Amino acid sequence: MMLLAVIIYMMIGTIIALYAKKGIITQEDYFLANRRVGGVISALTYASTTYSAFMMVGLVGLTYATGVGSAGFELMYLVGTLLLLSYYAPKFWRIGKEKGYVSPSEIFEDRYGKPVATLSAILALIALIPYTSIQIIGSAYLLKIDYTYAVFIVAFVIAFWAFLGGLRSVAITDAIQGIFMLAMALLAVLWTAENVAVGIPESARFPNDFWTPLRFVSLTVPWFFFALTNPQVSQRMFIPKDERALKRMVVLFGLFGLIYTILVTLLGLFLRQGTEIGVFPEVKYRDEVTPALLSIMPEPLAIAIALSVIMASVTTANSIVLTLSSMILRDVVGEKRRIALGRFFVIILTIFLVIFALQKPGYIVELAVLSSTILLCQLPLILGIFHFKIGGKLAGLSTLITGFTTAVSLSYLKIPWTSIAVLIVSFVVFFLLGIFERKH
Amino acid sequence: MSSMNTCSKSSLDRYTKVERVVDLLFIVAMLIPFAFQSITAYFYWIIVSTAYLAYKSWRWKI
Repeated sequence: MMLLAVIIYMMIGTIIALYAKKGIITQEDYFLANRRVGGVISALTYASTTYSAFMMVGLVGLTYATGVGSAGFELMYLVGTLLLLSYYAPKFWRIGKEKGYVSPSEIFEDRYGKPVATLSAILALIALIPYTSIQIIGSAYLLKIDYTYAVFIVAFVIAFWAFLGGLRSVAITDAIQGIFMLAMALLAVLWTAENVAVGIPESARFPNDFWTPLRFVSLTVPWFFFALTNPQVSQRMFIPKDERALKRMVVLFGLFGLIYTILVTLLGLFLRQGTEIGVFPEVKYRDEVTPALLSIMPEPLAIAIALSVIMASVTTANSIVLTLSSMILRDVVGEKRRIALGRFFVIILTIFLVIFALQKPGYIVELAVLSSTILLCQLPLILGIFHFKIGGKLAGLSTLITGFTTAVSLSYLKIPWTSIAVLIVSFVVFFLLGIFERKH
Repeated sequence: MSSMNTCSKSSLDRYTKVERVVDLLFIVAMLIPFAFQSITAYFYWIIVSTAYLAYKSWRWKI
């Protein structure tokens, strides 16, 4: 039955992608839907791209295991994103339009030089391939068929819609899937309230042994700046058709995020309450909380919710594939006209994702968690464009290299304040070499 | 190298000192639950986030 639901889902998405494929001539058409996306669709594609399977699986489990602090962590991300978008989205949108930027790394090219844009694209590739593979792995498990077949099915869905219709197809399918994700989260909460428990146990209080100030700040920092540092969402700032659509995108994304976060965290808290009063089995491994819930639900509802988790993975993954494809094409290869090569890179990237997903290497989870921390090293460069007069090629390259090295080495050593260190090291290197560059 | 603040200005670019202070206050307000030691933090965060969204929506007249 799950497979049937996925087949219907694939057919609907493919029809939309075939419709969206008409009129794609330039790279702006393919990667940015010709900057003609309305506010509501922009908001829904932004939300669907941002909110991956982490919400219905990771955050439900995190809330169940660690209490209300998870809501604070996720809402801090939301408030930070609203703040950053309300200030920077208009600037990104206008610069993108005036200078014809398609890839988010192109914003670095004029200020710091081509090598910095190229290195930024390569770092995004390194950071986001494992993260995207995790989305495939999670979805493949939910299909409950042979793992290898499941990986190929999910990868096909991710690549095919992006391949056919580019961002137009991705944005429309994201919008529909986003609404479905929200509806299923609501149904999950209502069913749990009716059949498991309602309430927040006192043991879920904040702060606690898990949510110490250091952990809260360390986990929040990469997410707080996610809107600027993660290319699949920063590229979304280029797509609204006008200023009104841009404003709508930001505010409606905020509304989506607020509702989704409340629903997902309520689910985790209700289940924790259920465990405490003995009506929901205790789950030791937190990523198993949602699967445990699905196993006690009526099959049609469980399938619909599992499908919403797959959709959350697909909407995130196909946006990342499309964005990375634009970055390789324009910032690494230097091709700024033809789109055939862009489609080719969509396929190549998906093949890489499949290889990662099939191998399931032990370090992939650590690398996926590390993705936003790695991308933090771009923050001084982004802020430098709008606020600082110092910093050129040397400062740009050095900041990216030292920030990346710090992120990988400290996380390998399992240092809990890795993200804070990456932020400090990146800014220090940027300013020191920026001043040096200005003097010479 | 010079800053790229060369684009034409519009209503979207107006970011006043008052708005900057309000934004910072909201961020600080999100950290206050460290003093709560309670599940009340959950409702507090939802109220502050909703208020911030309402403020941004009002500011941009959405």
